[in-house]
Formats: sequence, structure tokens, C-alpha cells
Amino acid sequence: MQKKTSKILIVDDDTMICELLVERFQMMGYEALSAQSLKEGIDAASSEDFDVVFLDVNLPDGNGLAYIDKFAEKRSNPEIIIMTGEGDPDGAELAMQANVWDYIIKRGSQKNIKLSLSRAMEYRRQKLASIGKKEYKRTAIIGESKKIKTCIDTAAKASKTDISILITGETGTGKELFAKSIHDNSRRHENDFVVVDCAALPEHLVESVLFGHSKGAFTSADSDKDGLIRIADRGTLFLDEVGELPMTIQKKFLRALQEKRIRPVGSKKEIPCDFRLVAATHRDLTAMVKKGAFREDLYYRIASLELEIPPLRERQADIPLLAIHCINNESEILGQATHEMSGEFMEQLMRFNWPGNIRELFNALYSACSQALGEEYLFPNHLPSNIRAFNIKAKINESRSGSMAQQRQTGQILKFKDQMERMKFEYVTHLLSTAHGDIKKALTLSGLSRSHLYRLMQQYDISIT
Amino acid sequence: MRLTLFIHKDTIEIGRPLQDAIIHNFGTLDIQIVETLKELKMTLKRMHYTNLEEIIILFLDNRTRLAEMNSISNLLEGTRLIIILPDKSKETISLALSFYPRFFTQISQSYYELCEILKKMVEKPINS
Repeated sequence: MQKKTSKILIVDDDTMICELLVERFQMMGYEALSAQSLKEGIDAASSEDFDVVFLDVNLPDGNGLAYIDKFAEKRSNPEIIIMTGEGDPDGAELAMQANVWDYIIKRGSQKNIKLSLSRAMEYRRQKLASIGKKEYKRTAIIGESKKIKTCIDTAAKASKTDISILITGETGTGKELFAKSIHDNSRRHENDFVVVDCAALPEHLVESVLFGHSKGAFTSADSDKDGLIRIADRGTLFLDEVGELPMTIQKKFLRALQEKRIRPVGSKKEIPCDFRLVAATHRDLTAMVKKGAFREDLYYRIASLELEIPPLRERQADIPLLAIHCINNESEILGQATHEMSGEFMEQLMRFNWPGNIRELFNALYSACSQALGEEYLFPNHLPSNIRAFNIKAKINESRSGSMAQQRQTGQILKFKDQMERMKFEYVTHLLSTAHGDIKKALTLSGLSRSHLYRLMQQYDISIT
Repeated sequence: MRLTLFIHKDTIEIGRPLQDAIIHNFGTLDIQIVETLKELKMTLKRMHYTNLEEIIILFLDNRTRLAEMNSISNLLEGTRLIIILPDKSKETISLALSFYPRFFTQISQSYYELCEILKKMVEKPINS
């Protein structure tokens, strides 16, 4: 069987650099193509499978850093190496945060460029080899955006080992879901996954709940009881909101983590305990360490590997998939026909910023489905009013900042008639926002007749969205 | 905030200490007591329509009743769940853990630990 030749794409408007790199890479045994603009590069990456993309920063049609995701999301999921004419520490930081393979200076040493490429190719070879071995079971983790795929890759790596992992992210992003999937894909999947809600444990009971107690250890201890750590033996212990663990317990827990032995409250005997730790928090543990609210040694122990789950607003591309999953699930649970989402409904979902992340999205969809009982389609008016109000306000702010800023910037003054038209538009959008899309309320507030309001809405192309 | 307490109608007497402990400690909250699996299912379905924060407490006096919860596992998913188990055996606990409860304990005369934990859960909103 013929071995597939690895392919490289160079996106740079400097044709000399392109020719030089193409020649060098071909001499190394690779296929290499070049593109002189972002558009050409994206088109090339859409039609062919590249293994590595060398992406310049300053291109005639945009900044390469802003297009990293677009290249990375292509079918072949290429490794990205950013090239720049001058070293830029901020740009380098941005590129690394976007999870590119490397950041190089193009007029730097050719040896460094070749080394970066060879390492990227070796990493890719190993990655592709491991993908073939066993597919990671995603369970209910929905999404195809680059950010969530990166999280899944990290979770997949974590599931292959027993090292402690710290999952961070805002409330409602799915930290427990990832913790479960790591367990389900690990060698411990046939044993127990034990959830500990650290925020729910009163300080005077934490030790007993986690470590267990012997009979008579305290007043209400009427029998021996295994703690949750013991119950997680040979399985996974998931400490949710680990930042809530009292300092007094952190030391004892660290010892349990290091020595894999625990001593129940009131007992003289130590018990061996082999558990794998997955911890989660929405807090900034490094800040807590600095303030002295969390032990530094425990932090480094639990964060041997870290997985940060992005907020929903940073993975908007996943909203449609999440919404479809939620609505289908909901209809199955309730034994009802599935609702379809109208275009305007989806627009509302995509526009909202989802501070409560996926949990908030799902709650909004449950509410919308219950509002739309018996109806085939979901429309914006089925959504909770706070979402519609936010979106209308956002729309007004966009149009306001656009027009007024423009006028101030250019020093222009609109013709009186045009200015009046603009003010009417802003009034109607503000009115509908204040009324939360409720026409009846809008009529009461404004004193307009229904026909007049609808005429204005039609004139300025304003819908209740 | 609502507490939904499932105590099957056949176990009202054994479940009385739990019911009394919950009412004594959380009488100011909205407490709903359901006595059949069917009612529990309806309650869990209704949760999807309301924005109320709810905590579900299941009093399961034997392994069969615990196993019956499998039939509504998709409705229990994502809920804040507390389970009272018939015993401490590994098999019983493993079965309970498959519902990812926030806390579990065994049937007893006193539910001090459960009530203390429930007090904290009632104070704090849902996290991850």
C-alpha cells in the first residue's frame, strides 16, 4: 500500500518566501502548496487535506491570527504554525492560546522552521495513529467547534492515565459531563463514579462524609460508615467545587491523594484506597492559592492535568447542535412530537450571550417547548422574555453605536428628514425592547394605534426578534 | 426552592422519621410528597416546564424499589438528587451511584447528616 505523502500549505503574500518554503519542503519529501491571501488559503484548505498550515500574520485580506480556527476546523484538522516577519510577544500569546503548534519568525533560521515542521509531523503521525485505535465515547458531549474538540482531546488523553485532572469553567458549561466521560473511557469504567458536591458539605461533616467514621466517633455515629473516598476505591472520585473544601480538610485529603490511604474519623486503622481524582471548579484556584484560601501543594497535586471548558458564547457554532439535541431529548422524555426551530428562533439563540451557559440554554429550550405545546415550530415569542429583551437591546446598541459614532467620526450631520427617520427607528426598537416584544404593552406605552405601530415596524423592517 | 420527597405508599411508616425530619427542618419551603412511581414521573416531567429549583429525595426501602428508578433514569438526569438506601452493601451503593446523587445515606431513625447537607444545598444555587 502506497504511503500517503504529507501535505503542507503555506499562506503568505510574500511570493519569494512561498517559493523558498515550497522548494525546501519538497526537498524534505512533502507535497507543498502556497496561497497569497487568506481567501485563497481557506479555499485551498477546503478542497484538499493538508497536514500542516504555515500561516502568515499580516495578509492583504486580514490577520492570520483571526483565521486560525477556520483553518483548524477543516476536515483534515491540520496543525497550524504561525509565521511572522517580526517577533510579537502579544501575538505569540494569542497564537498559543488558540492552541497552534508553533509560532516562528519566517526570516529566522531555516533549521528552526524545518525542526518545527518535523515535530508537527511527528505529533500528527502519533495523533492519527491513536485515533485509529479506539474512539473516545463522548456520551452527551455535543459540539463540533474547535474549542470543544480540543477539550475532548484533552479528556481522551486524561482517560488513558490515572493522573489527577482539574476541570475548570463557568457554571453550566458541563464540567460534570466531562468528568463522567473521562471515567467512562478509563480503565476504571466498570467501577464506581462517586460525585462529591463539596459546596453541599457543612464544615463539621466534611471529614466524616469523605473519610468515613467508626461507631461512636461522635454523638450521631451509631455505626461504622464508609466515606466517599473508600466507596470510590478502584473507581473515580469526582470532587465538584473543590474550591469549597475547608482548609482543615485539604491537608488530610492531600495525604490521602499522595499515599492512597485514609483513616476514618475515630479509627486507629488506616485503609488502603486506590481512587482516581477528577476535580472541578468555577473558581480561580490560583487566585485562591495566592490569598491563602487553598493549599498550593494540593492545587499542584489535583491539577496535574488541567482542562478548561469554554463558555457557550465562545463556542457559538455548537448552539444549533446543542439545541437540536435538547429538543429531541425533551420530546422523547415527554412523549411528544419534536418541535422544529424557525430561522428567527435560531437567530435569537445565536444572538444571546448565555451567561448561564448550556444549563441556561437547555432551561430556555424546555420553557420554549412547553410554551409551544401542540405547535410544530418554535418562534422567538416562545422564548423567555429576558432573552428577547437582551437581544433587542443589543440590536439597538449596535445600530446606535454604528450611526452616531459614524456621524461624530466624520463630522457629518444627516439631513433633518433622515435624522427624524433614524430617531423613529430607534424609538420603535427601544419601545419593543422595553415591552419585551409584547405588542399590547407597546401600544399602551406609546399611545400608538396598532395599525400605526405595525406600519412603522414594516417601514423600518423591525420584527419582534 | 421545592423539595420533592418520594416515600412509596407501602413504606409510609418506615419513612415517617424521614418525613418528620424534612418537615421539621424545612417546613418553610415548598415540600411535595409523592407516593407512587407514576406521581414521581409526572413531577419530574413537570420540572422541565418550571424554572423552580428542586431537590429530589428518594426514600428507597429495598433493592427492588431502587432498581425501579432505572425506568426513570433519564428524568432523574441532571437533577439534584439525594437517595436513602436500604443497606450499605457494595451492590446497593453501586446501583445508587449510577444515578449520580449529590448525597446518599441509609435508612435510620435520625437523619441529622442528611438534613445538615440539605440545609447547605438549599442555601446554594446549582453549580457545575
